[in-house]
Amino acid sequence: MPLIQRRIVQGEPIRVGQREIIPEAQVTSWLQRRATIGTHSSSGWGLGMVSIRPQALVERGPMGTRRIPIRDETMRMLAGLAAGAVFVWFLAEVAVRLATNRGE
Amino acid sequence: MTPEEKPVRKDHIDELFTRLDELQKSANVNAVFGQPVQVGEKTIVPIASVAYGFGLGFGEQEKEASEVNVGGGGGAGAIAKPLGLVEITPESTRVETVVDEQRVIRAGMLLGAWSIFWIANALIRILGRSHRDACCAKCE
Repeated sequence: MPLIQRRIVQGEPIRVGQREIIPEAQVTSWLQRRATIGTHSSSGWGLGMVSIRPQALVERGPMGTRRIPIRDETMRMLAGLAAGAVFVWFLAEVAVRLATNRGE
Repeated sequence: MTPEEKPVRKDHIDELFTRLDELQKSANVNAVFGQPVQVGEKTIVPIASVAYGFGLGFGEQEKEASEVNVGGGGGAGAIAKPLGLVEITPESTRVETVVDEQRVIRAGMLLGAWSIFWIANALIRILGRSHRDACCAKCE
């Protein structure tokens, strides 16, 4: 059994007129479990984590099927800011290296 | 331990593992897509992201032939974050996402402080070195 499992699950379709909208989500789960059976004692434990994130909407209708992705805008912005932080550090290091090399 | 007790212990472990599997498999779409709400001609579906964690454990120890100490426990925690809503009209389907502004502002402030730190650090290193070099040149 893999340590981290990832699967796509679909929900009940929502019908509006001739169209059918199927919600789709990504489920990421992690499970760790262990058991010990001794002569006079036994013990067991398990830990798990599950993350469910809406992935897309699948729209089926007379015009065909199309997939509408669902994006987490907050996470995208935070990722952009994190990239900016790495860039600032990189620029500062490059500036120091350039200034140091020019002085020698 | 008598031979009859072994299956009982195995049952406890099987039950623990079954519970863990159930918790893992209980994740479904309904946790992140809410119930559709009809507003006039529009159908609104709220969306969120959900994460949860859990832990279970048990132990048993045979003290004497007739006495067995058994203990166990568990805990869980969950977090849900609104992502936006789906707007379904007779003509189109649209996803309207929301931005957690407070979180982005906090991260922006952190980035500002981080930038000031690294720029100041770079300036101190550059100016400190040039000051040192000038000082050494005077002494020589």
